[in-house]
Amino acid sequence: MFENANERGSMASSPEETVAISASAPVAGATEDREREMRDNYHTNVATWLWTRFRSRALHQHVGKLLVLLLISQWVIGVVGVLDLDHGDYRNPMLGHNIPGFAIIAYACYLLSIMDQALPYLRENVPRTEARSMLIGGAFYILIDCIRQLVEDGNENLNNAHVSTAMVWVFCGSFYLLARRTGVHSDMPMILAVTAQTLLVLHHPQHHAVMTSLHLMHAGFMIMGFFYRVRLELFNAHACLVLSGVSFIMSQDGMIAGYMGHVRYFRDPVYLMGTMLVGIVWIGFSYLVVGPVNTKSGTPDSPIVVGQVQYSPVEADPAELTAEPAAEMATYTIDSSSTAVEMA
Amino acid sequence: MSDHGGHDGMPMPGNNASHDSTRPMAAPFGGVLIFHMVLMSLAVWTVLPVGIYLARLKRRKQHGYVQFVLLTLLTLGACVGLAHRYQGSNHGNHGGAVSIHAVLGWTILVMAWLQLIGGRIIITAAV
Repeated sequence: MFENANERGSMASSPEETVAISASAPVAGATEDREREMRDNYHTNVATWLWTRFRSRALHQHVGKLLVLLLISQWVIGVVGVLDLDHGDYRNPMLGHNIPGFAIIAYACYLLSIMDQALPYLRENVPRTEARSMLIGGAFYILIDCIRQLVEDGNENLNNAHVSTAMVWVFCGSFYLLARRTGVHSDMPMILAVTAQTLLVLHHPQHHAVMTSLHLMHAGFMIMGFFYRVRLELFNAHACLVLSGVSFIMSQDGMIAGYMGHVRYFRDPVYLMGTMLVGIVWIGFSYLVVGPVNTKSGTPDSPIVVGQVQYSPVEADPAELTAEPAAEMATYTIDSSSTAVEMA
Repeated sequence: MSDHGGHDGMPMPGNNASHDSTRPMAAPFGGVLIFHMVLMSLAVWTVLPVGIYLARLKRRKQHGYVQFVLLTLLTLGACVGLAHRYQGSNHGNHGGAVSIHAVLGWTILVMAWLQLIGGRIIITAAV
């Protein structure tokens, strides 16, 4: 959680420690000098900070992954545009619906594929992964629906509903990360997000009964998955998520619903094949981007690493993994004679 | 909403009643567009995966070279896309949807070049 010992020290866990810090004149003076220097050299510092980040290998990797996703998204948009060229623009329900569905499936498949490797590690990290996926998924959904809003003459209320729901996902993802940061573990963000999404699905206008049924299945699986997730039955939870995503995609015009219904344009087999191809490629490449999982994780040769603490699979204790950060703070004392923070 | 009405109130192609004949059409599906598609598909589905695997194998120098090839292809593809757009403007297409694709594409291209420069700086600093 903390970058270094000084950062730990800056977060005093008790009033006594706070007093100890403020009572230390040399420390306070040094801090003021440093703050003044920071203010004086603000622009230089910002430039240095940016330059340091620009040269950071970790940031390079993160931006690289983002660029890969953006490139593929752009390619998909291009394909959709070509498939829909006769229409003259990119108005297409596939953009707003199928791609998030495929992304959800890819995420769930990824989690399912690593499920049997190191459960304590997974339980510790799944909420964080969920928070990130909520943020990314929500932001993506907002973007797509904004594009739809721009290029379509579509149903404004429905688009607003989509964006509102996506904003709930973004909010919940942020809250989730914040909750983890402060050590408060809560499933409240997920309750909010699932409720909002389910309400949208249930009120989503459909062409015909097949699509409505599949949308209801999508909502049903999502709720089932949520209850499994709360009980930490992760395999069942993410299996439900996969089924939810599949029924979601199948409910779209280009898929089964389009065939069983009487939607003329979307019965075009070229369109259907294109949709399926894009979906398959999307799932495959999402998996590649997420990265090959370290299959040795959790074996005796490669113990599970959570923060700075190593757990061997045999000795791993879930109770330790859920320890509150506050308890960790209590093991540190502050030496008032210097800025150094030492472990007790 | 009727079956022919389209998704989310969207008019469906083939439904002449709902098709706006005053809306400008896209540029024709021709050689320029196919060239754009071939270049972009080659870049995204051939060169990009190779670059990713080289990065995963920690072969940073080769990764840099491959990414340079990728960016060259992408830039070429973008220029061809631009040519297609100009071709489209001759057909009266000033539509926003195509420009969204274009704006996103050029943004990604600029970001990708910056990424390449950043990678080069990282490698140089490491040596």
